[in-house]
Amino acid sequence: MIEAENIAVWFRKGRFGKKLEALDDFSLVVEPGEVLALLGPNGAGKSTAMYCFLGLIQPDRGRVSVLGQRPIPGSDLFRKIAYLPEEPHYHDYLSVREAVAYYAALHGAGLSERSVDNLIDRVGLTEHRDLRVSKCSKGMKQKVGIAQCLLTCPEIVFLDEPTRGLDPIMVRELREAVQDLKRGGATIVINSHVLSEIETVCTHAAVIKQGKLVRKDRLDDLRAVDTETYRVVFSAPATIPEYVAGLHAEGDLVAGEIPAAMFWEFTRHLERSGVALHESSLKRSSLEDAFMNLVGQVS
Amino acid sequence: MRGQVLANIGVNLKFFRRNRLLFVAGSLLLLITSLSTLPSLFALTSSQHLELITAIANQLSFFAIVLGIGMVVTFVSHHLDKRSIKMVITKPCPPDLWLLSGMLSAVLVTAVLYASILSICSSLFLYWDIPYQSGLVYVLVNDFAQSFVWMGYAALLSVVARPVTTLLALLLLQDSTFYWLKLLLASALKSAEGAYATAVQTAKMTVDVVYLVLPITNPFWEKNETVYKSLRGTDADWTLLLSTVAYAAGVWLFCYLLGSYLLRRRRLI
Repeated sequence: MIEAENIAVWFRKGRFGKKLEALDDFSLVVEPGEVLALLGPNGAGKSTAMYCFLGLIQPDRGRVSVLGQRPIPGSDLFRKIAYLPEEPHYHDYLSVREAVAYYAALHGAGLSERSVDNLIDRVGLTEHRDLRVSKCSKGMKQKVGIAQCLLTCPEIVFLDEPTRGLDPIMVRELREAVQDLKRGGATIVINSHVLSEIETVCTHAAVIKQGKLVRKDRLDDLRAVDTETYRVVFSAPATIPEYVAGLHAEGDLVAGEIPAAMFWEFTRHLERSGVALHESSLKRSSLEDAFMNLVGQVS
Repeated sequence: MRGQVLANIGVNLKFFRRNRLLFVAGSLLLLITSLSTLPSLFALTSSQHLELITAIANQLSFFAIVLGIGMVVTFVSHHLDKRSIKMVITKPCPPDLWLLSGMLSAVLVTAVLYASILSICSSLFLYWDIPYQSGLVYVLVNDFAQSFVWMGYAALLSVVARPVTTLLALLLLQDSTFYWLKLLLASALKSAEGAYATAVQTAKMTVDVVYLVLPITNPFWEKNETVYKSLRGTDADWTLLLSTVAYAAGVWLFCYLLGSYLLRRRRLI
């Protein structure tokens, strides 16, 4: 569905400035129906990757294909694509209603006035439909963006920081809209820093650091990567394996943390030493733990 | 495609109408014209009426060209600076179609302005009861064609440069400026000697090249001078007007095609 093959994008600071590599040998495949989060620290290249998928940046090296075609701005491919930009780059001299109707006309969606109004109602801008976009708050502008994403039934949706500036009610609305699109079979690519949001919506995540893809996997698999641990409380044996971290005394006993993968080996070690394991609890890792772990790995 | 062009034109017309800079510039130009011509409308003798109509037509036509340039420059630079073009090209509407719609919108407004100028001047002919001079139509069509060249040139420059640079380039990089520079350097070359002659020769060659590249805004100025002064239809060469219109449309189209190509090469993020 979306394929990036060894792409490299360079930026230059000024005409004769130093060359900066925004993406370097970046490869990624997004399968149909996936809801993929692009994760990475600031400046990792997430937005650049999204711009490449949209054809807004032509990579200096490598190949990008979306629905089997090279993305060219304004091409017919965009009949199947919806895009919510990070910054509110809407036509600010138009009213909310005019802007949504204009974007519908560009799509050739042929929406009636009532459909445009319904869409505006859905994103909660009914009272502000005649307000100029320039006078709208950041959150309201974001709602305009969401409305224009819902104009058609897109096959691919690109959301760049979608919850930015939204109130909690609208965040929930957006989540529901994304779930609707997901149920409709759309492939969704989200660029966001709000990991809790990603955990509730996305099926997959791609972690990017310094322009390179560190890992792309299912969220469940990503969370399990070397980050799940057991908290164990035990009677002190003669020797304590070195993988037991955070050792400290808890009364007559010793407490620590061991990687989940080492749990059975640890219990066998205690058995051989003739001491008892008093308590063990699995510490499930969050996406944040996995993200920090993966981003830390490459540094 | 037709629907997208129409949608773009509709929005562009709203942009022109709501743009404060254009509104202020338009009002100012109208005020200047009113202040300079209104008092003489009532004080002139009938023999001076034709001269006044000529002056009004010339002044209003000049302002229409300035407004046309202003519309194109503000349209392109506003959408590129504010990056709202991103919202257009992430829909099935290519950047060249967007640019075409913008340029057509400016042409449309300029056409309305010229139609208004024609109506105003024709009304004055009727009001003062003086014989109608068809040369007025000739002059205004010729000026409208000139505005095509200016707007195309302005659109091309706006795609590659910031608005201030564009306006400076429009002021300085004019065919008339370089034509006079050519003449000046040619006469200087006659009396130049030694190293000075080489320097003048190099300067003349540079000026010649720039002059060749620059679009000519009024290609048949010398042949049209009489009709501009008299407004008499008998002085007008209508075949020449046809050539001027064809030339202006050609320059406009060339500027559009080159502008589209450069726009596609820009990183529109």
